[in-house]
Amino acid sequence: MSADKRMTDLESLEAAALGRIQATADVDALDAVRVEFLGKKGVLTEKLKALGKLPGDERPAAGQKINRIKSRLKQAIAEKRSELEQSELEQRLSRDALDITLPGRRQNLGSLHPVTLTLMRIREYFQQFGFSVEEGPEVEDEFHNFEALNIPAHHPARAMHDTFYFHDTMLLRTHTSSVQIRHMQHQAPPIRIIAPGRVYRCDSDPTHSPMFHQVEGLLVDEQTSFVDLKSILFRFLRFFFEDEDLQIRFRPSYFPFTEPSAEIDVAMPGSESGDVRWLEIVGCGMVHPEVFRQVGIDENRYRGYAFGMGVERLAMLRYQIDDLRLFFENDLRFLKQFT
Amino acid sequence: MQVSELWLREWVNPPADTHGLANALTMAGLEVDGLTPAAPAFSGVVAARIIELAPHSKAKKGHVCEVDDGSGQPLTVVCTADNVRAGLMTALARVGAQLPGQAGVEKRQLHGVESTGMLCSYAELGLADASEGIIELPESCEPGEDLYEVLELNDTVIDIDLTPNRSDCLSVWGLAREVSALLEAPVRELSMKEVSAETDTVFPVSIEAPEACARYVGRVITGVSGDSTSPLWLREKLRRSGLRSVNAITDITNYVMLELGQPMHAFDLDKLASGIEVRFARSSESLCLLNDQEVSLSKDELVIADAEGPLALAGIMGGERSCVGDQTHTVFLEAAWFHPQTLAGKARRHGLHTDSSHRFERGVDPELAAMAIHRATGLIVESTGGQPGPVVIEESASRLPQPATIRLDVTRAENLLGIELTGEEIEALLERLHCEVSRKDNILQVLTPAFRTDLAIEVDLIEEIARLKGYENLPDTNAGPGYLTTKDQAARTDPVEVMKNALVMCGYSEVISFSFVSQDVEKLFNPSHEAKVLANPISQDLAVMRSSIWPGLIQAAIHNFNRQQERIRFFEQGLQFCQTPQGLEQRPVLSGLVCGHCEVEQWGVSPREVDFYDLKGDVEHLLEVAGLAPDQLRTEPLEDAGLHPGKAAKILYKDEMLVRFGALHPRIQAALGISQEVYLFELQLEACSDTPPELMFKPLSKYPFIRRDITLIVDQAVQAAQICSNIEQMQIPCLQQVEIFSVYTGAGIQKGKKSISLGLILQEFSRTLTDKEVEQTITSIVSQLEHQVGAGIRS
Repeated sequence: MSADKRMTDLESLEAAALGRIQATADVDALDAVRVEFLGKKGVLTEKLKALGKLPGDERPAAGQKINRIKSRLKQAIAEKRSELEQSELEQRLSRDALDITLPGRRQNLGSLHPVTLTLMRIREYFQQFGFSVEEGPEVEDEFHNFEALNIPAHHPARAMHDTFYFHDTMLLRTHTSSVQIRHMQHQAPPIRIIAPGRVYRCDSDPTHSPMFHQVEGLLVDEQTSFVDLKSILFRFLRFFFEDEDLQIRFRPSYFPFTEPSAEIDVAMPGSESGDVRWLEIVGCGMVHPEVFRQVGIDENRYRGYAFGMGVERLAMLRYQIDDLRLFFENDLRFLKQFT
Repeated sequence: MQVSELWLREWVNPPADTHGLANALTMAGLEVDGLTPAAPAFSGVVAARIIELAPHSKAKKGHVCEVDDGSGQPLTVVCTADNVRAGLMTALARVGAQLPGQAGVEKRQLHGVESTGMLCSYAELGLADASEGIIELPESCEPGEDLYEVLELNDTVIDIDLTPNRSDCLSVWGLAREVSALLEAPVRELSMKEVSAETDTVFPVSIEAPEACARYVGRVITGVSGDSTSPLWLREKLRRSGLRSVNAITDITNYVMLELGQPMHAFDLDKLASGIEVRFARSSESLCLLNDQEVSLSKDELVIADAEGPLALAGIMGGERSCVGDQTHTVFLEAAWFHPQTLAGKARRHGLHTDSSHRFERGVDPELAAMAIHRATGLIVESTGGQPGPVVIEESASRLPQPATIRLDVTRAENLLGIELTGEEIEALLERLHCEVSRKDNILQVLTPAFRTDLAIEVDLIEEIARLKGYENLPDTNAGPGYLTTKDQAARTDPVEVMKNALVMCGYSEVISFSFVSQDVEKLFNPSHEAKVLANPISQDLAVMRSSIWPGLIQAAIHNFNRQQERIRFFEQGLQFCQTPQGLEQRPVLSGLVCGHCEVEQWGVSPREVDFYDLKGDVEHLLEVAGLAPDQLRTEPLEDAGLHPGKAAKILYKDEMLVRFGALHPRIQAALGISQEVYLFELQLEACSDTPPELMFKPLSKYPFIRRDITLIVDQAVQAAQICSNIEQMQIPCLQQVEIFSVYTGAGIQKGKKSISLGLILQEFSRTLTDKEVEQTITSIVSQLEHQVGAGIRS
């Protein structure tokens, strides 16, 4: 065989090998091709081994040629391999693809009652000013609910409280103001507390529930004033409703246990500027000297302010709930709106 | 308090319009609840005189009237009213008139006679609920005059929600004084003429309870006509104040009460047996009141009596026996001052609340009594004729309330209000309230007017200062005094809030149910407990204090079952009320209810009904969140009337009941008509306020752990806890954890037995365990369990 012929054979071998590489469909087939040509007993390996049988002057050229072919095939195999791997990965990814719009598996969230959410917000505000949270009994005595609050038995305000009584002298507290008294009896000033809780009035119609919630606030210190009271409550309401331009009305009122006394109304949503509808949400005032006397706090040294807020009313305004009864029906369709 | 704006403006007429006036009152603490027109809108109704009339030939009771409506052309109008008569000045709705709630008035053929218009009653004009006959107007009217003008109907009724301290404003005069002080407009001079006596007739009055009645002013008027009606203007004022017209004498006493604030009473003197005694009731006395109510009296109730017994419940309501009526010829007028404390709660005791008791309970100015007597006398003589006798005053002057002189320190006022004030300014403000003020430097001596019974101490005056300056004018932007700065918060967040949030994460919704429940439901859950019973419940369903929140949770669940909800997870925080030998305990608890599917309905999860262990898991989760020391907790079986005896447990904390939980007792489930299993828990919150054990780091082992699983065959009755505590008692140092990963009964397991598979996790801290050590440990555990709980090993 002539040297030229040998060279041509090698070239056609390379062409055939490259053709086989390109034609492989997967990595395994590619490996088989690699072994066939480049393996220990592969075609090209055999050719290299057979170099010795060639005439001396042809060997270098033939050797070079084989090695070049070998390295070109290696490269072609590496490229093909990477191409095949990429395509296999793509196939797998596409096979694995999910319907990501199906809902996730989970335990649904429950919900906190809007009264609780409202109380948490009130607490959040007053705790930053150092007011601590206090609680008191709901079955109360007349002293803490009335007498110590300057509401003696004959006082007309008693009749207005629509009190639930028990067969003894106990009653259901009509306001959280009773907690003020309990706290002042045991704690010397300075005092800063809020007292959230259930209160009870013997009254039931679409706008009155026999049980509802109040938050009482009390501050007793050597220096405080009616203007401080107005300020903290106005600031609280603007915080609570997240509205710096909230329409608020601060007007005189009467409670036997505060003086001066005031009530705060907030404009109902949707009120026209000409015809504002107001909702009363806070009663407040400076602690009456008689209350200080009842709990043994020096009325000449200390001053204090107290306030009581209707929690349901705040919640109704904030969440635009239009029916008080919804708060205590415990309908899931209502409760789940506060998730 | 309901008052006609026009009436008020007769007394004081500030430049403010209706809304301005209402706003001024509200912002001064006299909250205006409503403004309503004094009359519904109507038009085309005029005064008209009946010139002559003839009976209608065809219509029974009907009359054909010739009417002068001022147009110069007499009209023919058919009328069937009883009081129709020639010469009567009445109200005519002309053709085209619009009446409230009716179609326009048209010409109509009435049994063959054409009626051009309609003669009207008060009811037809919307001025009364019902009325007898057509309107009778005074002779002084001009035919053709619009009825709105005649009756001054362009008026607004102002409804004021007065606070109980402002009894001085329970009259037109009192309100006028207040408006005058607020808007600085002059109040009309009171020109009450004294009406002098024309006879010597007096009637004896003796006050036997001067502590309750410190002044009693009386007067006899003879020769009155009890059947007179009061003048139209007076009846209109009563109507706008919400009072019905009765007869002239009663109307006038009511009118004087509304005008001046002094409740009055009129007795028919001919019906009295002897002189009047003001005394407390005697035992077993009773009285028939004007409203026909028969009341039995107690010894603490003040009465006006004669020799035959009580005539009136003093200051509350008169009696039927002595009331004035059409036949009355001699009247005895009463204007008294009763002590507020004597009357407090007495009207309510009989289910009464009268204009009179309302005023006396809040305090009436004692100076009004004589004035009121003269005012009423004048009006009665004018309307019904008669000759007044002398005014008789019985009193115990020292027992009357005295106007207070109050010391007011300007600095104290400034400090309390938080604004700057001067003595001059305060003096001027208080003088607007009719206080007499003398001032030396910063100290004022303030003599309060008798009608302001609410002003007694310094702070009462400070409030008045703020009120007159206007609460709305006080600053609202105080940054707060320096001490109102952030205080260091307690390190720990409220544990209850943390637990509530944990429950929300587990899918629970918070509910709030009433603290009172029905006696029957309470008994179902707690049959041996004497619940605290309300004396005046709203209804039998809300009659006793709950000793558990469970009934409320179940009620909430039933409400939702009825609305197609089946999967429910609820919790509620609140007090439960338990009677103990030490008295009533009000215990804070956190309770929950679970029923329906364990998971929400979703794809890829096969639905499973919730069971005891789901509930127990939630409870354990909650206790972990609460941070209670696990070594202080112990779970035990529980007997509880509310729970299924085989599916109930309690967890003790420091040997005290912490949680009880389990399945609702099937008996109660059936009684309440619930078809599915319901699980309940109740956690005592007091224990949860214990500070949780401090967190402390433990070093991690560098060596791998080894896990060995064993499966035991034990009797059904053997409890998991027995197995675990047996292993625990062995105190094997390298045993880190025991996991129960399978419990099985059924095929392959002998009847009466069950298999329990444990995963034992072993680890040494300082080295790798050898196989031999592991085998030895496992063998010793198995042999302990064989010995102690009769366990066999399943290989």
